[in-house]
Amino acid sequence: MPALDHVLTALSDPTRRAIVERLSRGPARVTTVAEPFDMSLVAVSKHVRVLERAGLVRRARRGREHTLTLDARPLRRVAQWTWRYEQFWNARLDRLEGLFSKKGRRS
Amino acid sequence: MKASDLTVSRTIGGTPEAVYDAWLDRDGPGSLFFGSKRVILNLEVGGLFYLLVDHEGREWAHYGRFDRLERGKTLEHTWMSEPTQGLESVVTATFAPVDGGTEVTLHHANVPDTGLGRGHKEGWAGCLDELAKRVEGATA
Repeated sequence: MPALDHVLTALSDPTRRAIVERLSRGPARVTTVAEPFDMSLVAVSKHVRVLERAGLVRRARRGREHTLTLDARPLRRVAQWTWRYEQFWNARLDRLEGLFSKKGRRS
Repeated sequence: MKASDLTVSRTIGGTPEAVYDAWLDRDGPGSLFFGSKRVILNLEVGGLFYLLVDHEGREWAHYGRFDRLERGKTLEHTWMSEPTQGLESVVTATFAPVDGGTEVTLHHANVPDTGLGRGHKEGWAGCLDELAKRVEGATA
């Protein structure tokens, strides 16, 4: 499972969210995905690579044709309350840790 | 209702007793309660607590009951809030001496495993909207 930071970073961009939304309707070729955007195929491919690194998009190659498929699993995890609680408890442990590292420096 | 659990842990540079005390020191910055808008606390076995937390532009109430208060060892309390949907989730914190201090392990059990976007008619669209708002809010 890719780090959730990668997932959130990947989704922080409107173009990449639009790509994810397009792929939520079914697999598509890179060229088809790129069509609605006013940018080069190279620029769209860069966005797709960020989504691949986040584990949100998978690429299947058949000859020169690349087909993209959405993998919603990382997204699902981000949307779960268990994950939100993980953030909640980690934030509190960060503060506890910070308190003790300050104490350590003083003594 | 499908329920799930999660575990987070951290090694903190202090004795188990000191770390335990800091975690429960209601006014201290390392505390479980710190930063809450309102705290009502009866720190004893069978005692209840109430926390009002500001998060994402609204207030979230949390209620619980202390079941174990073993200084420097184990803290266990229930945890009920809007996301637990009426289920009494259970938080168990253990404090174990290790090299370099104390390993704190938080185990949160019986958390309803409901995705925000699950069952949404528009597939993931609703979930994405929610995410987008969160991510944009976090980076704004």
